[in-house]
Amino acid sequence: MMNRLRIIAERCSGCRICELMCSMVHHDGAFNPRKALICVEINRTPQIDTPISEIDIPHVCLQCEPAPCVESCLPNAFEKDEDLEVWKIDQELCTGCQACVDECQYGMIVMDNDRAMKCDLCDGDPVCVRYCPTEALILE
Amino acid sequence: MFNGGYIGKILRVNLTDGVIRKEPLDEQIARDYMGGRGIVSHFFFRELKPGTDPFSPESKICFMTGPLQGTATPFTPKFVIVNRSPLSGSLSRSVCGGGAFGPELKYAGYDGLMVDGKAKAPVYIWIDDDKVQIRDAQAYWGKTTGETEEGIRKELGDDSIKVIPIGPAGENRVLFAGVIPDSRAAGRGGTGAVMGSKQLKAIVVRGTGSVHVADPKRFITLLEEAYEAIKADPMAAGRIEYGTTGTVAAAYKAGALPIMNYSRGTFDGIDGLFAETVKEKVYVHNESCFGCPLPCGKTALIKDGPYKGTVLQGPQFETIGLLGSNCGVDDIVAVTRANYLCNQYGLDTISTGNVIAFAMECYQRGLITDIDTGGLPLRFGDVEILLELIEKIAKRDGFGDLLAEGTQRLSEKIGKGSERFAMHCKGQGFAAFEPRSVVGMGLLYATATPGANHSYGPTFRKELVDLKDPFTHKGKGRICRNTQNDYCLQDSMIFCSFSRYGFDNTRRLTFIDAVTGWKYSEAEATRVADRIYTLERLFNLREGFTREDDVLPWRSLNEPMPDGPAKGNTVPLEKMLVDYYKERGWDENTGVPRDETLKELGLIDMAEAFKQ
Repeated sequence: MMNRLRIIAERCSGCRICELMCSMVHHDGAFNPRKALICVEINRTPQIDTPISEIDIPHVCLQCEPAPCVESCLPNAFEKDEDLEVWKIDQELCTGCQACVDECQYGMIVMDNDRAMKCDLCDGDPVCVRYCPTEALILE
Repeated sequence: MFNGGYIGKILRVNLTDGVIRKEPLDEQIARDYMGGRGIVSHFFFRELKPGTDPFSPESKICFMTGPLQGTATPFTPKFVIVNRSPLSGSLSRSVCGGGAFGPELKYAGYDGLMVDGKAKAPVYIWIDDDKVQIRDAQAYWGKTTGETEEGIRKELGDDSIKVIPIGPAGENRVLFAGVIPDSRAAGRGGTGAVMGSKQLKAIVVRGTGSVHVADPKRFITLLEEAYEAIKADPMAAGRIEYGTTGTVAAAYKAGALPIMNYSRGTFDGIDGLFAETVKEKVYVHNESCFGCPLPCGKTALIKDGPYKGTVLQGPQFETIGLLGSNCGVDDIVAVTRANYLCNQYGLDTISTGNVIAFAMECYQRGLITDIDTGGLPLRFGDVEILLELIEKIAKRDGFGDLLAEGTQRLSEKIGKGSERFAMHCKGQGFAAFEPRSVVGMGLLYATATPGANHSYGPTFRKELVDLKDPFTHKGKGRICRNTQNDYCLQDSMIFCSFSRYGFDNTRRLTFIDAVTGWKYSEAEATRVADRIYTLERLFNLREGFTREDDVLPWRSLNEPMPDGPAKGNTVPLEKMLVDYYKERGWDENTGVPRDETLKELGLIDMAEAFKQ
C-alpha cells in the first residue's frame, strides 16, 4: 500500500508549490501557504558545513501510529480512513480546543475558522506530490 | 466586480502626514491595462505632475502586483516597482521576484501600494492584513539589506513576514540604488534612491487572507498542461542546471558580452566566467522563487579564500557581464563577492559595473588621474579596486560620490570627450548586451521607456536564433516593438520573463481567463501592450523628452567593433528608428504618437488633457 509521504530534502528548491496547492484543495480554492497542511522550511544563508539536505526542508504529517493528536482529542473528532491508514478530522465534531495542536511536536495541525485540520493525503493522490517540480516529495 | 485574481484594493500611504487610505481598484482600468505595470503607468500619467523631482515629497513610488500573484500559476512570484527614475527622469519599472512580497501583499488584501510624501525620520511601513502602520526605522538606518530584514523579523517576532529593504546606497540616494530582498533585486531605475529620499527603509507585509481564482476546475486543467509543457521544453533543463549563466557563452559567441566598457569583442579570461566554471566554483544548491516550478536561482557560497562563507543567490548573467567582463574581471569568486556587496549595500549590479568600467576607461586614457580617484589606480581587472569602489559608491565616499551619480553625470563632470564612450541612454547605463553585435538591442536601449534597460524587451534571441541576422537593420523595428509589447504584457499580468519555457502568450492569456474570468484575444492583448507602451511614451514626452533622446552613445554608432564576431560593425540606429516609429504608429520625424494611434488605443482623451 502506497500511503506515506517520503521527503528527499536534497531535491527541494523551496518553491512552496506544495503549500500553495495544499491550501487550494483543502480550503475551497483559497490560495495562501499559511493555510497549508504541509510546510517548507527555507534557509537562504547556509554555511559551508551545512548539508544540502538542510537548506530547504519540507515538513509533512508523519501519520504517527499511535498518534498523539488523536489521543489528545476529547470529542473524538478523529476518524480513521482504513484504506489509507490515515487519521482525518471530522470538522463537525471538532470543537476547536487546540489540544491536538499542542500535542503535535511537528506543528502539523493547522487551525482554520476555529477548526483543526491535518494532512489527509488527499484521498491517496496528494497534490503536494503531484505538483512537486523537483520530485522532493514521493508517495510510497 | 472582480471574479478572481485581483483583490480590488489599492493601499495609499502618505509619509508626510501619515495618512493611510484604502481605495478600490477601478475594474475598467484593470481590464484596459491587464494588471501591474500597465495600471501603474496609468496612475502615474494621471497623478504625477509634470516636472516632479523624483526625490521630492510629491514624487511617488508604487509597489504593484498583477492578477496572477498569489495563485499557483507558474512563473508568477514577482511584483513591479514603478517610479520616476532619478537617473533619466523618465518613467521606470523594475521587476522583482524576491522575498515572495507580491503574493504576500495580496494575501494581506491589496493589489498594490502607492507611497508619496516624505517622513521626518527613517520609517518602515508595516502592513499586517488590514492594520497598516508607519513605524520607526532609526535602528535600521545605515544597516545592510540583510541586517535590516533580520532586524525587522526579530522586532516583529515573526520569521514568516516579507520584507523589501533598501541598503545604505538607497539612504544615500545613489542614483542607481535598488530595493533588494533576499538577493533578488528590483535594481534598475533608482527604486532604492527614491525610497531613501522618502526616508523609507523598508516595506513589511504579513497576509493571512487568500487569493481565489474565477474557475478553479479550469485552472487545475491548465496547470496540468502547463507543467507538462514546461517539462517537455528542451531548454528548461539547461536553465535548471546553470541558471542564467548559460547566456554568458551565448552572448560571447555572438560578440555581445560587454568587455572593458563595451570597447571590444574578445576577452582572454572568458573561460573563468562560463557557466561550467560558475557552477563548479560557487553554486551549491538550486533555489526557486515563490511558486515557480523552474528553479533557475542558485545558492552561491564562497568556499575558501578571503571571502570564505559569503552566501547569496547568484551571480547571474547580467551581473557576470557587468561586474565581470565589463570591468575586465575574469575571477568568478570575485564577481560573486562583488555581487554580494552590491546586494547588501543595495546597489544595482548592472549600473554599478557600468559606471566603474567607464571610470576605468577614463583612467586608462588619462582623462582622470590618482588626484581625482583619491589615489586609487583604476585598472581593468583589478578585483580589489572593484570591491573597494562598490563600498565607496554606496557610502558616497570620496571618488565614490561622483560614481554614485551614474555614468552620464560622471562623464559630464569629467568632460574631455568622455561622453563618447559613456555607455548609457537617457542616463540609464547599458545592460550586458553590446549592441554593435546585436543591433536590435541598440534600438531597444534607445527606445526603452527608462533608457538602456534590457528588460524592456530584449531582441537578442529573435535576432540571433530566429532571424539569424544580428547586424541588419531590416525588420528590427517590428521585432523590437513585438518584444517590448511582450514585456508590457508580462509585466502587467506579471509573469517572469522565463515564462517562455513551455509558455507563450496564448497560454499566458488562458491563465488570465481562468484566474480573472476575462478573455483577451491575441489582438486585444496587442492593443493593451501598445496602449501601455504609448502611454509611457506620452509620460516621457510630457517630461520634455524628444526624438533626439532616442539615441545611443557615440561609440555604438561610430566606432567599429575592433575584434570578435562583430568586427567592423556599428549600430545603424537611424534606419531602425524610422522603421520602429512606423511600427508603433508614432510620427517618424518627431517620435510623437499620431492622433489616429492615440484614438485607436483609447488614449486620445488623456493625451488631449496633457496638451492643455
